[in-house]
Amino acid sequence: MRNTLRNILLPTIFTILAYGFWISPDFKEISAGVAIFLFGMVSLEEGFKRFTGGLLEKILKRTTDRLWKSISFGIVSTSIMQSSSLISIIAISFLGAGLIGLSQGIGIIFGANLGTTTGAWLIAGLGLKVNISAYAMPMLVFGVILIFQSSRHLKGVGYILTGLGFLFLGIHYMKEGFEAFKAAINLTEYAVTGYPGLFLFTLIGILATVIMQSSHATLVLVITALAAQQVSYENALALAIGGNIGTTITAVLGALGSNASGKRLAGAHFIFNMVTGLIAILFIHQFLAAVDSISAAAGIAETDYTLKLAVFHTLFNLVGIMVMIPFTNHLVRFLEYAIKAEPDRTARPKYLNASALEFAHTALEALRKETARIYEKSTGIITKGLSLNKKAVFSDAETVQLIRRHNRPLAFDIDAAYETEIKSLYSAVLDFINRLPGNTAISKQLNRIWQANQSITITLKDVKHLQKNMLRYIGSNNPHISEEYNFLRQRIANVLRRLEKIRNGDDSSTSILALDALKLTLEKNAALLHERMDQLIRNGDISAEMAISLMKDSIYTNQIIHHLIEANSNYLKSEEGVETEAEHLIALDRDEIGSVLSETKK
Amino acid sequence: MKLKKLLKKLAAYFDEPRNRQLQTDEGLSRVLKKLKRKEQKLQAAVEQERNAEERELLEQELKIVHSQREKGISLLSETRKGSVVEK
Repeated sequence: MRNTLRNILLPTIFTILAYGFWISPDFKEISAGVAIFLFGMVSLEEGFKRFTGGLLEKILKRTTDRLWKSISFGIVSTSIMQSSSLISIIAISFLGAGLIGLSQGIGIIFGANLGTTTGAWLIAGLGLKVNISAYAMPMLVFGVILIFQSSRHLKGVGYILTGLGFLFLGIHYMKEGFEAFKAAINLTEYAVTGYPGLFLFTLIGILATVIMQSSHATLVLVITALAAQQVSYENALALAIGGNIGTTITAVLGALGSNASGKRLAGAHFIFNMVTGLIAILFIHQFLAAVDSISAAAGIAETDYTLKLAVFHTLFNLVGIMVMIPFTNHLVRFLEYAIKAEPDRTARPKYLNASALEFAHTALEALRKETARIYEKSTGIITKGLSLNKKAVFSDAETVQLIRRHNRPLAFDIDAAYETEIKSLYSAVLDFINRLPGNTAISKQLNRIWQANQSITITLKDVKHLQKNMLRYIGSNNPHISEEYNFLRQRIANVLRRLEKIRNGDDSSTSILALDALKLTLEKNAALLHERMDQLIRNGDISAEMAISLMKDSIYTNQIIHHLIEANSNYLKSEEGVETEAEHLIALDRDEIGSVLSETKK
Repeated sequence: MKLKKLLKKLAAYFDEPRNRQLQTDEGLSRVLKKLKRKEQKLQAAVEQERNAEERELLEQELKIVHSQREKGISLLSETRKGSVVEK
C-alpha cells in the first residue's frame, strides 16, 4: 500500500512541478527557494550529527531527569538546531536504546514543539527585514572550506555554516519569488474565509508538510507568502496549524523501524500535535484576540502579520503544552497500554533496533546494554551448569557454605540454554555491529563489545566441558575428588560474585583496574592447584583417571575465569570516556601481574 | 577561565593529535588521583585488619594498586614528553 502510494505520489508531484515551472518562472524561483532551504536543513542536521556522541548526549543524560528539564532541553536544543525532527529522532533513538524513559521522551517532544516556533520569530523578525542573502554567501564559502578539513568537529562546523547559508539563501529566493509573483497574480483572491477556509488551509498545511517532510519549511513558505500578501492572515494561521499536525507524519514514519518505546513516543508526538491543532482550530477567535493583545503589548504593529503569525504559532504550542502537562502520566499509561511491547522471549534483542543505528554513539550504548543482558543471562546458565543457584551465588553467604549446601549434581542442558537464550542475541549483536559503518569514532569500542561477547560464548562452552566430570564427581564417595571439584566450583562462584560487585559499581571509580586483583588471584590459584594435585596423586587419594579429569577441568576452570574477566574487562572498556581509556592503558598485563605475584611470594 | 587558557583549549579541540594527547593526560591524571585515594584506603585497611588471611588479600590488592600507580605515573610523564601512547 505504502509503495503504491509512493509510486503514484512522486510522479504526480514531479508533473505538477514541471508544469508549474513551465508556466511561471516565479513559481520556479519559489520552489527552488524551498529546495535550497530543505537542503540547508539536511546540511544543518548533518553538522549537528557530527557533534553527537559527546556534548549532546552528555547534556541529554543530565537534563532529562525531571519533566520540566526534558521540556527545557527540547525547547533549547530545537531553538539552536532549528530542527524539531532531528531532536525527535534523537529522542526516539535514545528511548529505543533504553537511555531515557517514555515520560522524559514526551517532555523533549513537548519542548521541541515550542522550540521550533523560534524559527518563525527568526524569519519574521529578522529574515524578512534584513537582506539575509548577503550573509548567506560568506557562510557558504567558509562552510565549504571547513567541510574539506580533516577534523570531525571542523567538518561539523562547516556543515552547520553551509546549512545556515543555504537556509538563508532559500528564504531569499522564496521572498524574491513571491515579490515577483505578486505583480503577476494575486493569490489572496483565492482566500477562503470562515471555518471552511480554516479546515481547507489546515489540510493544505498538512499536505505541504508531509510532502516537504518539514513543518519549518512550511512555516517559512507561509511567512514569506504572507509578507508578500499572497496569502491572507487568517489562512496563514490555518496553514501553520496544518504544518504542526503534518510534522507528526515524519515522526510516525521514523518510528516504524523502532521498537515499542519508539512507537509510543511517536504516538505521544501525534496525540500532542493533534490535540494542540484541535485546540487552535476550536478556539481560533480567542487565540486571535490573545495574539492581538500580546502583539499590542509587545509593540508589534497592527499590520505586521508575519510577527503576529509567529506570536500565534508560539502561543498555541505553549497552550498545548500547558494543557498536556497534567496528563503526561495518563498519556504514558495509555501509550503503554495501547502499544504493547513484544513478549520478552529470552532470545530476542531488547535494545538493538534500527532507530538505534541512527547515531553511532546511541548504537554503542544499545550494544553495551544488550551485551550486559547477554552476560546476565549467561551467569544464570553458568551457575545452573555448576549445579548452583544464581541468587545464592550473588548473595553475601559464605561461598564454602554455599557449595556445601548445593552438593547434589543437577542435570542442566547448557547447549539447549545457549541455543535458546544466547545464540540469537549473540548473532544479533554481530549483525548490528556489521550494519554500522566502519572506521567510525567508536570502532575501537565496537571491537571490545565483539570481544566481550566472544568471551561469554567461550566461557559457556568451557562450562559445558567442565560440567561433564563435575556432575560425576561432586557426589562421589571419594571425599578428596568431590572436595577438589567443589573447590573448582567455589573459585568460579567467587569470581562471579566479585565481578558482579565490580559491575554494580562497588569499585566504580576504577572498575577496569579492579579486575587486575582478580587476574592475580587466578594466577596464584593456578599455581596452588598444581601443588595440591601433586600431593593427592602422591598420597594415592585419587585414581589416575580422576587425576587426568581434574587436571583437564582445572584448565577449563582457569579458562572460564580468564574469559569471565576478559568479558567484563572488554565490556567496561567499551564505555566512552577519557578515564576508561586511561584505565585501559594502566591495566597490568600478564607479565606485570606475574611480577606482582613473585613479589607477594617473597 | 582566562582567555589564554580558553584559546588553548579551543585550539586543541580542533587539532586532533593535540586533543588526543590532552585527553590522555586528563584521563591519566584523574585515574591516578583515584588510585592514590584507593591506595591510602587500602593501606589503612591493612593496618586495621587482624585476620591474617584477609590481611594477605588486602596486601595483595595494595601491591596491585601500587603497581598500577607506578605504571600510570610513568605513562603520564611519557605523554607529557609528547610520545604517543597507544595500546
